[in-house]
Formats: sequence, C-alpha cells, structure tokens
Amino acid sequence: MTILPIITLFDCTRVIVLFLSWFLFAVLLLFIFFCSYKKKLHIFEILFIWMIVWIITNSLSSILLVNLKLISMPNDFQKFLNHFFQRVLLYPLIITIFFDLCVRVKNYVRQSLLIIICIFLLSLLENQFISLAGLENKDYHITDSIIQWGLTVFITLLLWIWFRKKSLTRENDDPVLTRKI
Amino acid sequence: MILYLPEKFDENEWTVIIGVVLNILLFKFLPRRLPKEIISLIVLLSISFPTLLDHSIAAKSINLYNLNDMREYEIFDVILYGVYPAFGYLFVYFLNYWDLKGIWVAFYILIWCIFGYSMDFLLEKLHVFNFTGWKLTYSLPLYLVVLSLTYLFYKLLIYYADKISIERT
Repeated sequence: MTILPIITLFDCTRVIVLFLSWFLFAVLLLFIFFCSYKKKLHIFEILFIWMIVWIITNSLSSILLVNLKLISMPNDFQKFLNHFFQRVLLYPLIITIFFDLCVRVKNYVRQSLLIIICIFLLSLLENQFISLAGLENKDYHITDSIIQWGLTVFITLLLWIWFRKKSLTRENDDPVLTRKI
Repeated sequence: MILYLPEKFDENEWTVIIGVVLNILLFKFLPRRLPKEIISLIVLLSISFPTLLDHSIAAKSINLYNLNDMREYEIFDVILYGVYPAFGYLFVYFLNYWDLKGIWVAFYILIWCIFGYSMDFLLEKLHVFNFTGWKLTYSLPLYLVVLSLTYLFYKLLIYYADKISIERT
C-alpha cells in the first residue's frame, strides 16, 4: 500500500520528463521544417523578427518571474533548459511562421485572424507548459498570458512592418523587397 | 511593480545615461559605411545577445550577476540595452573599414575581446554589473564566442546583401 503512491509519483515525474523531452524534439523538428520550406519572408526579416521576439519575450519573462512573481522557475536544470529553448527557439519560430503566413494571405481580415490565432496558440502553449510544471504557477491566469503574447506579437508586428518599409524597400523597381504585406 | 526605479541615483545610473548619449552621438555623426538593413540587424544582435545572457545566467535560478542596484528588473536595466549597440556596431564598422581577412580577423577579434574585458572591468567598478558568481576571467572566452558569432553573422548579412544587389542588376 505504501509503495503505490511512490510509484505513482515516480511515474508522474517520468511522464513529465518524457513529455518535455518530446516537446524539445518537436521544437527541433518544427525548426528543421521551417528551415526547409520556401518562405515568403526575406532572410533579413526573419532575423529581425527573431531577435525582436528574443528581446521582448526575455524582458517580459523577467517581469513576470522576478518583478510581478506571477510564475516562478523551479530549481531544476532540465526545466530551466526547456524554458530557455522555448524562448530561444519555439516562440520566435511560431511568430515567424505566422508572419510568413500573413505575407502569403492578401486579405486583411484573414491576416488579422492569423495574428489572433498566433496569440492564442502562444498563450495555450505557455499554459500547457505551466500546467505540466515546467514553471510554477503562483497567480498566473490565461488573461495575463493573452495580454503578454498580444503585446509581444503586436510590438513585433509594428517593428517588422517598419523594418520592411523603411529598411528593406530602397527602390520601387526592386522585385525582391517591395512586396506588399 | 512592473519595473522598479533605482534605489539611489548614483554612478551606475550616470554610466548608463552617458553610455546611451554616446551611442546616440555615434550613430548620428559616424559616417555610414553599411546599408541600413545591415546596421539595424547588427544593432539588434548587439542588444539580443546580452539580453539572452542577462535573462538566463543572471536570472533568479542561476544568478551569476546582477545588473545595477537590485536583483529585480529595474528601469535602468532596460535603458542599459541602449548602451550595447555601439560595441557591436563599431566592431563591424572597423572590420568593414579595414577590410580585414585571414589571420588579421583573428587578431582583430582578440583585440576586441580584450576591449570587452576592460569594459566589463570598468562597468563592474561602476556597479553596473554586480558579480555574485561570475568571474571577470569568464568574460574573455564569452567575448571570444560572441564576437566570432557576430563576425559570422556579419558575413552572412554581407552575403545576402550582395545577392540582393546582383538580383537587382
């Protein structure tokens, strides 16, 4: 009778670790897929979006973790590594893929819809990660997550449009860089 | 609180302000040698590398160093991002100016590593960086990696910028 809860606890931890490993594997797979398909975004735009997302997500993550204390980081190196990979690879990857889809879609309504789906997907993923104890939830709600990702995606979108218009379009006859968003 | 205000307004805050002003002057008055899109990306890289490090190895769980007065994320930690771009930009600027190749690139990176190390030493003395587990000797290999990556990044950008000009013609 006393062994049963220990086994359950052990199994539970194993399942979480297994899930997180698969999660990392899936992120890498998604990254390889992203590298291999033909993108509409120029490489400079991809790099720009990627680094903007890095700066915003890391800053917001520190505000949530350290200042507002809505979530906390467990002292587990694997979970820290997962959180790190998410910020470095997964979130910028998802935002870049959605922005690439936005360039493909010409209709403004569809573009807005894609942005909203992107925000909800990111919130959902983060909440999934918190519920699997990747991060400890102190007082973090789904609305906080939606605000966080809404802010991230919106600022990135504005800066990306600025970069596309100001930095990449230099001549009107340039077929590579003057595509309309 | 979303962003904390500094505990006291002393040398570290003044260092950050002077650093930002120097950055503005540098970008305003230094003659432009590189295309706008490359400058934007180099500036972003110069901000995002330290951001990644500050929010990973200086984060609460590892906490090898603190920025400015507090362990918490304060407003001058954000303004500090405005100090970093000059470092990356000048590194690439002089690389382009002297058009260094081969072994000279290695020497150039090494000189910048020593410069970065000296800057870290100075910023530690001015309490912008407060080392809790980090040692100044760690900065040298770190700069070696970061500057090598910046060099590769610059080469990649130049390659694609050239490709665009060929497509145009």
